Amino acid sequence: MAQIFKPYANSIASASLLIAAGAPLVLLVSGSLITRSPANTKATVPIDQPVPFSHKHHVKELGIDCRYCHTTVEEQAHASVPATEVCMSCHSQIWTNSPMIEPVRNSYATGKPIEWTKVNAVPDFVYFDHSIHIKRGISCNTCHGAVQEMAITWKGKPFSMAWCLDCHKNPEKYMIDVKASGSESHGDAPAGDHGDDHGHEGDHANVLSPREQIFELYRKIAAGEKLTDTEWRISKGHTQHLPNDKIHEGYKLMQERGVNVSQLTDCWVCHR
Amino acid sequence: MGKSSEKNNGSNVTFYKGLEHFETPEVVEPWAADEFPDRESLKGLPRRDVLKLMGAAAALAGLTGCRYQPARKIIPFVQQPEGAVSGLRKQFATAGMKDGYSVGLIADQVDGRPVRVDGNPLHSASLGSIDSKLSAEILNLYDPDRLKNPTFKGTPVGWNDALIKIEEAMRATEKGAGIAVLSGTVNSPSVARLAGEMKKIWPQLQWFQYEAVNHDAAREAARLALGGNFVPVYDFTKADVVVSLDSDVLYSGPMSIRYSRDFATRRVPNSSMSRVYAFESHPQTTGLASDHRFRVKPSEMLAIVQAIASSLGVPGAASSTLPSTVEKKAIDAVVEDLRKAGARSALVAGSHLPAAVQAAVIAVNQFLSGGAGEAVKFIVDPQPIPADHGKDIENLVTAMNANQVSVLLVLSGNPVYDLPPSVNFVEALGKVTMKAHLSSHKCESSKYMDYVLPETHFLEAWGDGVAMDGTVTITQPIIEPIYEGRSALHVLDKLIGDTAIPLEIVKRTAELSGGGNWNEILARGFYGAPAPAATVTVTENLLGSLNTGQASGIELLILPDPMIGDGRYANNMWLQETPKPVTNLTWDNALLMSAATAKKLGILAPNERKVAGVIPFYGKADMAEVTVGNQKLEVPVWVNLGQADDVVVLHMGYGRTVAGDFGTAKGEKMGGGFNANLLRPSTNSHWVSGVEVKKSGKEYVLANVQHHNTIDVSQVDKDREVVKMTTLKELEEGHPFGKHHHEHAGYDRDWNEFGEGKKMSLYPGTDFKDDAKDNYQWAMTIDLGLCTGCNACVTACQAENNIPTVGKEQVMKGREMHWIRVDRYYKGTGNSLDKDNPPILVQPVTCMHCEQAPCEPVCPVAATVHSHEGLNQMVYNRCVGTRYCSNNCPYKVRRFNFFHFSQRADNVPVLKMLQNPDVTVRYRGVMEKCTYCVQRINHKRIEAKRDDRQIADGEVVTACQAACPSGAIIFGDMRKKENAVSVSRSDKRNYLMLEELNTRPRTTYLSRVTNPHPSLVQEEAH
Repeated sequence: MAQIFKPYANSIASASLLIAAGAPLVLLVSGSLITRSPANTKATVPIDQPVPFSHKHHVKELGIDCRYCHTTVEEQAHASVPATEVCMSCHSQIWTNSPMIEPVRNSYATGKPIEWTKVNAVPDFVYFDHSIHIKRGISCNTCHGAVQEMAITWKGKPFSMAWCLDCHKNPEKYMIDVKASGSESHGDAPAGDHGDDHGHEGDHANVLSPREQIFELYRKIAAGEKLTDTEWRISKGHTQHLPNDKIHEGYKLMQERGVNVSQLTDCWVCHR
Repeated sequence: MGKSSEKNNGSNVTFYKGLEHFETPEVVEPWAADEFPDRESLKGLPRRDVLKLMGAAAALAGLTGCRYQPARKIIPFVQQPEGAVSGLRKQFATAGMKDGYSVGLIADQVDGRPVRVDGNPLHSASLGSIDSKLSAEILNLYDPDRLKNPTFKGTPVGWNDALIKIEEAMRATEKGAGIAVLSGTVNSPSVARLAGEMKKIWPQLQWFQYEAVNHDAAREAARLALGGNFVPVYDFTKADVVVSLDSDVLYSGPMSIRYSRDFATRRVPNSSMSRVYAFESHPQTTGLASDHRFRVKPSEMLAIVQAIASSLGVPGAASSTLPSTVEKKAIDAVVEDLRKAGARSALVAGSHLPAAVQAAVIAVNQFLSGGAGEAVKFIVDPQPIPADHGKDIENLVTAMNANQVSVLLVLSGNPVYDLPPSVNFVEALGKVTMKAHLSSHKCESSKYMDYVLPETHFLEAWGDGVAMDGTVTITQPIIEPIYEGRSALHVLDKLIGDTAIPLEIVKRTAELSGGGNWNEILARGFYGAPAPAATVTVTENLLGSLNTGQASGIELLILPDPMIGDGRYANNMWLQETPKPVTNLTWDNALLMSAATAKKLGILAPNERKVAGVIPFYGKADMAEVTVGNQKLEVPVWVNLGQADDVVVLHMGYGRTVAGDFGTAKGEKMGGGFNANLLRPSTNSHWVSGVEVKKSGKEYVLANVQHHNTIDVSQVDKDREVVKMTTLKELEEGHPFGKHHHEHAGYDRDWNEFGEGKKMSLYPGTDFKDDAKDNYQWAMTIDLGLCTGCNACVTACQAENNIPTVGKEQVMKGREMHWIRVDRYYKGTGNSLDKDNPPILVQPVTCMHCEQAPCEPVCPVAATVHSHEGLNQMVYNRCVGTRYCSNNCPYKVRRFNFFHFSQRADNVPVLKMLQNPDVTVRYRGVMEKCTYCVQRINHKRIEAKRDDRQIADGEVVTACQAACPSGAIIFGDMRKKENAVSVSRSDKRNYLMLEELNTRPRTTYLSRVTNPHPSLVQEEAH
């Protein structure tokens, strides 16, 4: 009678043991990687729109303020998406024949709204309020990514709960003090310089309210002014990068602005 | 009469949830101690199958987390209308109707759709509060069963075609001879104006008004007593003594919301506390709020008034024999108090009582006030076209039967259902050539009509209406008509050939009566000053001439249902499922009678019945056959303690045959009740004597929520009752709540001592001391002295928090979802309970937001955790539905979604519009409970932060608090001593429910205090 188990059966057996032990781990890890990847979250994936609207052009190149279109971002939960007539306030004068904005003209002529595809969305059980984030000086880019670089808009961040909580637990990482250009601290901190000049960012009382600072940053970007390292990082949608001993800068801003971390992590702040 | 002569020192007072609780505690108590006392019924399931299913469920449960977010669209405006901001909650003044008069309301609108109605704080009939029916109007607006388009004999037609045909028929008449309009109460000055215009075109046109519940008797009484068309207006803030004669003045009637607030201002236990006597045929909210409650048959009411009048020395008062249930000394006490109070007293008669009783009450009131009119004054009825509904409908039917009506326009109302069988309205309709019916719903009358026209809801159309005090409210549309509806105003306008839009008509009416600036009127919601008091004199020798006629045998009261009224709200699931005050019945009506009457008729009280399967035992009811003349009706019986013997009460509005998905009676399983109109001998009768009631032998299951979510009171320490009450005298003199209360009473608790942990607890709580530095600390107080048990909070909460209804079958299983419930207790003394007239107490119970919450440590997934603001948070997305929390909650305030109860809201597009966008709609398998309206807290917190300030006291108002007509609910931040909630927490009356468990609830109660007459105290330790 022939041998049932050939010598290589040993290898198969040990290999299957390894696979049996490793497979669940691989599955778990790959599963969680997939769910967190842009394939699932759609973060950084440009979304097709009926009109190829470029934030890069309007924000960075033309320097139009965010609030020109997103009118209610300072007072309301929703930032609001502009009505066709807002587009037409300029485009009835310029680029009047551009085929790219044909749908806008059509919409205005027919009264049929443009159907934009939603890029940034939270689930229905999450109650997000733009106004309070703006009030506290949280930059648009902290959630929406480097909007000024988006030729076609994409979701800048994964919008997962862990990502929300990162800021709600450690808001100091996202706190930023943007000085109006012309004030003393401006200009001596070139982008990318990790030198000592950050130390005096908070030394002089800022004439701008946290809310105004957000939009001052965009003005600086559009004007091509030099940004401090922190400003640059926030404008790219990153966190502050400060040496460990400097992290108190963020805390100080938190205190000034009355950010209450204990309350930020209460479930019912976002879910009800 | 009461048997408790001992002082209410707590040691021998026991509260019973119902008669069965007293008679057979061994049957009731398992329901309090165990979440599933009926688990025996589950033992039939094979253990292996259960394990298999559980395994499969666990394995598949993981998959439910996998969800692909679908691409959503953003559709902005092309041209932004001014003020159209996505997600912004805007408020508009509008008005609703309550018993024939207007009540000013505020409607919330989000993204162009109304989502909520509240009272208009500026309007005198509301003062910002609301009742259940008006709260539920928002559901009526989005009712998927509403009529959608005009039909002619069932085939859809266009509005224009229909109106042209109707107008042709009208024009074909000789000067309008043969045209009849039948409407409900004409409350709108604009409609009245158009009616006048119509009369110019068709001089012979006749306009009739009829509603099954109307003010005929009160009107007749005013004519008898004062010789004119007057209505009484009460000022309960000035009433030192209130005597109610079967009146539900705090619950029904056009001004009840305002009256409750006024009444409550005098129920604060201090030297100016009012004294209230209630002579009632059956327990009503006014009786519950009273200091002394006597059981009196409707036929005996006149004798009571006469007795009071003759003791007071009202001229012409006839001597009378008092009923056996009222002792002479009670009347003496009433008279003594009335004498003392003089003009600062008010007698109030139930609107269902015969005109004679109401006239006698007017005479006594006028005698007391001496014409000065402090607590009671009379104004000329502000109704634009006052009419006697009973006479009107009789005249109409006579004319129809005599073939004198060729065109009949029915403007809302449902005469085929509303009218008693003796008026054969269907037959009379057959003699009319052209019948048109403007109606919001398809109803019993629809199929006999030629044209059935959809009517708008008041939130969809312009209109106006007079309030009881004479001001004119504006009904402002909050949304375009959802379907093809039109308002009565619009239809009438078209018929007279005018082209004005309803807005212009309403505006013109306001201009004509000098209303002032239109925009100001709209912002305020009404125009005109309250009507001045009329000078009235009582007819001479009135009292001697009054007579209510002979009454014999059992007396039947046919009253509007506390929730669905005369049936117009029958298809409103919220109202069907809101427990009716006192009885706590849902989805059905029942014949209410006293325990003694039930016994006499051989009808078994609930406790004498056996437990039937999984359906709790207290639901089964014997049926009785009620005979009035030659009309018979078989109805289930509900034994209602505190009701007068030989009086039975049946509510109207049920037994609908065509009323949509929920209103149509579908028998025992689905509910829907029995048509009380079948027993009404005449068009206007609410009180019938000589009724025959006998046991029919059949049974019917009633859905009663009284024993659902029962607090296990058996474990309660001797003097730490769940409900506490005392008298004013004892409150002022001593420690009325017993030894323990003195030790732990509210005034000993420091408001800043958040969870100091002095006392031992099973549940290690959070230390709120640190949190209180930076965070608000929310707390609520419910004043049991002010609560009348009207259940307005229940409906308001349902509307605010997207709470689903579950239907009769699920209610019977104890699965109703209300976040706030109103418990009812009968107070006994030691081992005895006065089964004839027990003191009845009500207690709203909602999530207590315990600082050391028993629900939190038992949750395996941390779905319920504490916030830094002291809220017991429920996280729906974490909840896996173990229900451990509910099991561990001593207050039984948690509700579980056993099924996908919100499914209808998901599937029916129009119901999606109903949901409050600020609150998550919950899915199957999720636990939920009161959140202290956290969406409102968050909204105000963000608003305050935006303005760089703290939330002010009184800024956050919970939905129940906003609704509560008597202002019994106080909410706020308890850190500041001056805040209303802190003041109430430090009140001597303040106590914690189940304090001995040391859960440190944030919701506390103010114990009930009554102000009995000293000479009646021994008798009535109320």
